[in-house]
Amino acid sequence: MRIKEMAKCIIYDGIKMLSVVYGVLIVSTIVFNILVAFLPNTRIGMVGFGGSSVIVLFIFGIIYFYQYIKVGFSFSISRKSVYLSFVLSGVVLAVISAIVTAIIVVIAAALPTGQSEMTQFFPHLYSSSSELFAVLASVVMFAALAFLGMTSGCFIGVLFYRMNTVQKVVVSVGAGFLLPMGLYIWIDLMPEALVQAVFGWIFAIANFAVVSPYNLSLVSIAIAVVFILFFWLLIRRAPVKDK
Amino acid sequence: MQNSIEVNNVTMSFKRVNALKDFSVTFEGGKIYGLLGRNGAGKTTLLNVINNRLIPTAGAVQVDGMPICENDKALAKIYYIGEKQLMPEEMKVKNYFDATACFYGFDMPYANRLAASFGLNTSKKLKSLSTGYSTIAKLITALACDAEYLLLDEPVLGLDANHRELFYRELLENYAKKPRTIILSTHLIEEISRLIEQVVIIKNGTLLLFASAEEMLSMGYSVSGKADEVDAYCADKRVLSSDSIGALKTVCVLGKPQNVSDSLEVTALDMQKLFIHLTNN
Repeated sequence: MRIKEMAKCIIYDGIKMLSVVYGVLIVSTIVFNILVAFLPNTRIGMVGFGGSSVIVLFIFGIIYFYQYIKVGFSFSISRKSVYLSFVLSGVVLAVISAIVTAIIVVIAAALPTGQSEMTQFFPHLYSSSSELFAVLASVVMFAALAFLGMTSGCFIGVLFYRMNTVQKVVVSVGAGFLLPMGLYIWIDLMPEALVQAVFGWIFAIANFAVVSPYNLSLVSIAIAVVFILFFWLLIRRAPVKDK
Repeated sequence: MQNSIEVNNVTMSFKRVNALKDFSVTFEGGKIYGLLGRNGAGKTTLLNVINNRLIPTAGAVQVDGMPICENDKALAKIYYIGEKQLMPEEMKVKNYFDATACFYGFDMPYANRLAASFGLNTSKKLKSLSTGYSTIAKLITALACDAEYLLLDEPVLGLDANHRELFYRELLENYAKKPRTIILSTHLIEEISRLIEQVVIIKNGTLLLFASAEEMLSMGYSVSGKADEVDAYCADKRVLSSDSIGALKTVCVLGKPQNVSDSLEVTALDMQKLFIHLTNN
């Protein structure tokens, strides 16, 4: 299996992309910090890195899947190895991005205008636990979210790779209103008890996720696993496409 | 079977089109094959199936006795260059060489020497290369890698006559130093006829001919002489084609030369003429 070589290339490209975004964020945050230093009672810390890395890895998954499936075909690498390389790279990139985010935030906390919170999602986290614990919890949460970002990106990438032009147009143009319409129709057609049960489950999962960063991490990983399964189902018989 | 690519009863269907129909062939190790066929005959589909780029509708392919389907150990023995460039367009040629070196044993000094011979600037991006130089970049990676099986689909696409000659020379030198199985799929039959040892002709997704180059060439001959004498000789023969210049006539005949009078000149037939005859509807 040539997963190691493939994963190395994917991770290298992922780090390059993350570095560019982090670089822009660091520079812009420094500029804002300098500006607000002259304003009384204003604090801007190094925020937004965790969320940005999730978005970056989502976009990375979409774009680079397209690139690497072709690289895989070029070098006679099996679909299974391309798939496993992306999953492995997703784990590595997610962990790296979360750790780098934590390091940046911890360093930035030492700035006069800095703040140590990695996330604003769970305000009680920093007040009710030690800083180290809070940072660790945030790292786990951002790693899980970034992994979800990458796997969902890969899923969309492979979905578009498998679709023909007509399907792409229908999904791109129609998904925005077909999904809500389909949802309304489904709600109308299905027995009320079933609809309530489904929404009950969704709200229960959402309520479970917002309790703590660990819960959110578990839910993120569970959704990522679903995306990984669909990713495999779509890639396992993907034909070569030279366009 | 060890040291071979075995294609066993492969059928490849695209919607309503059967590109390959119950196709079986064995490519033995250490030989140069010419994979010939008219447009749409199924050559590229066959190469894509051998390289696992397409999963066949039925049948299987084995490399050195190992199934090829999703098997990296078997796939690592194959290097395939197709007509289209699948590498990222933004990639530089030298990075393309580096990438190849990640997945295969790769002779970088040899690749750089070939690039210099062909006049390929390795600092250029793939997207900025002309069709010819894009092909050259792919050919260099194929020649410099250590794969045991090279599948070259339209290997001289866009190459000028000088570069084609250079490529054929380098291919033979490379083969002499490191004998391996090379499958050349091309329409330039006459140019590769002096390189190939075995000929595989596909017609409408089925195997039409599998023979050595000598066997194929011995399937016919050419007779030249005075038109009336040639016509008399060919009266009971299967004629492939004929050309007349003044009173002289040249006829391509299928079969082995028999009872040829001294006034007629017999020469070997060229592969392209036989190919045209065999593949004409």
